[in-house]
Amino acid sequence: MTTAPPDDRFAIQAEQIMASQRRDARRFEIGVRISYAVLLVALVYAFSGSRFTVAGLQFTTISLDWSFIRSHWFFIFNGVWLTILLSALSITLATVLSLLGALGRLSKSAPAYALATFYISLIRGTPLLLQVVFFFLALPQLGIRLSGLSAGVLALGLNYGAYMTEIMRAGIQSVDAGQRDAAKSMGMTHFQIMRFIVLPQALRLVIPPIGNQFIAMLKDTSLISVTGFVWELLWRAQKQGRANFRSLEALLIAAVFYWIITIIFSAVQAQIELRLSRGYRSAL
Amino acid sequence: MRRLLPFLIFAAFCIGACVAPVAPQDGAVASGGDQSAEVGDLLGEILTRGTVRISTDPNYAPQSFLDESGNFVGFDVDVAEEIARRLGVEVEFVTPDWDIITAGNWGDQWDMSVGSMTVTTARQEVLEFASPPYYYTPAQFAAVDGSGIDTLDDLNGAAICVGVSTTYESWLTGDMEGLGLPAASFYVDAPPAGVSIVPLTTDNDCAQQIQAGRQEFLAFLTSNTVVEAAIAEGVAIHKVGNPVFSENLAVAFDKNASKDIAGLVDKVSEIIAAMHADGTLRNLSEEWFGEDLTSDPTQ
Repeated sequence: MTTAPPDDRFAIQAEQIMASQRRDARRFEIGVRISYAVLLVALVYAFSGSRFTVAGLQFTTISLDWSFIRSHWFFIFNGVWLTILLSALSITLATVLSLLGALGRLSKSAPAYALATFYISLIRGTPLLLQVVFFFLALPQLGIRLSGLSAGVLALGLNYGAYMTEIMRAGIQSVDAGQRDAAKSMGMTHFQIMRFIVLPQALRLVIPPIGNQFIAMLKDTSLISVTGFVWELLWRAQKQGRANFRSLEALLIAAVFYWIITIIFSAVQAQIELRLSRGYRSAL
Repeated sequence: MRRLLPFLIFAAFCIGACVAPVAPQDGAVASGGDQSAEVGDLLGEILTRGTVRISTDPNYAPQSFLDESGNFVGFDVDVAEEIARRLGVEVEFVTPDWDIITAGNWGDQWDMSVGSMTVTTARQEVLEFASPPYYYTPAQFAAVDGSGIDTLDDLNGAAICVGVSTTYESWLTGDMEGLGLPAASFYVDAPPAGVSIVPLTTDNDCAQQIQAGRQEFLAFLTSNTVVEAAIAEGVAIHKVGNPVFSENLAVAFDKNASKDIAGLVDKVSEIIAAMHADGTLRNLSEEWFGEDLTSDPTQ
């Protein structure tokens, strides 16, 4: 037996190629991890306050008041819960609004179409910061006294709802028209078609982009701090920073926590995406 | 699609509905609450409620700031708590930004401001002030060490930082009418000439920009207490000349509150007068500022 049958030879070769591909992939992954570690160390070093000389050039890194950070980080950290709560409430409102907006945009009724288009144009045509302040200052004149939290949720929800309308519309339109015809021929009403045929399939497509919007919103909740009534992450950092002449330190604490919650929710988002794409993946 | 139409129109109008119908409902609830409690004025409402909502801007140490665990502390905070104690109610602090407080039209979101606010003519158009003031601070120029600005004359033509909507900004722009302080409050004849003004969100940011090494301005004008707090924190600045004017700082109320505020203003004025008379304010001033700032320097 000097030579294996041709089939076996190909199998062994294929095995070897795949093994080398796996090795490359593993090497790449290890390389990425090491690079992450190096970048993180470099970032931390940039705030170490040390001085060094390279080739006669003097370098200085940013120095921080660590005793301020040790004594104040926990108070600032406690704003995280409110930041997450604000985002969760706002994304819920935005999802409902964007669904209504998408139905309006797809509607054959002139007023419904016009209303949805008008809403999107108005909200997308003005800055979010301005909207937050507007809801806070204008509504009390109408006798509507919303708490800082509700005013913030309303502003964020309306704003993101307008942007997410296009996501919803794309999701609904992605469901083949033939399916609606088929459902209709089975005698389903329009509501039933939406509820049982179109929306469940649209959902799979719109959940990942909604997750992205949620992650973006985690950071945009910081705009609500301008009203002064909502003690979220940035508000706490600004107040502690100003009163103690340590704004840089306080803002960095807030930045670290924004980054951490963004990383956590991005991982959650990736898991959800994986689950939703189950059954649509190719066999391998 | 025709049967979907009513649903769609309903759905679309829901967007508008989220805002519109809340107003009459809210108004109805509010007026219903009035009748059952049988209180027409704000003082009565506060006593019935058992809490007074006081705005403070915790950006200013030692007047008002947050300690490490987020408790309100400072001179203003102690004064506010003492007023509440003498009213016989609990105090609840709210923290709107400074220019929201000075703009008036609080929309009944809080009852009064104990926030080191200077009594000015412009503010009196929208706000009511308790009389007498609860303390007096001198307005003081400060400049970066080594900037060459050492006397008030050096300030002519300089870039000067102030907090936005503060009395210091009004004075520098020459808006004496809007400032509306009595002539005896001014220690110098006129603000420095030809200055360019850099208004930032709060006075405190001026000191912090200098601390950070920015150079858009080399001097700022603020309360003497803020200058001293910055120097104590090691910011490389020094006082320039003597104070330029003196401010009367008083408890403020919203003239556009939906309830009548007259009774509350009288009651709080009475309490402040008593706190001056029995030495409470002097003691608090010495505790927080290290000096007595509670006697009127113009008298």
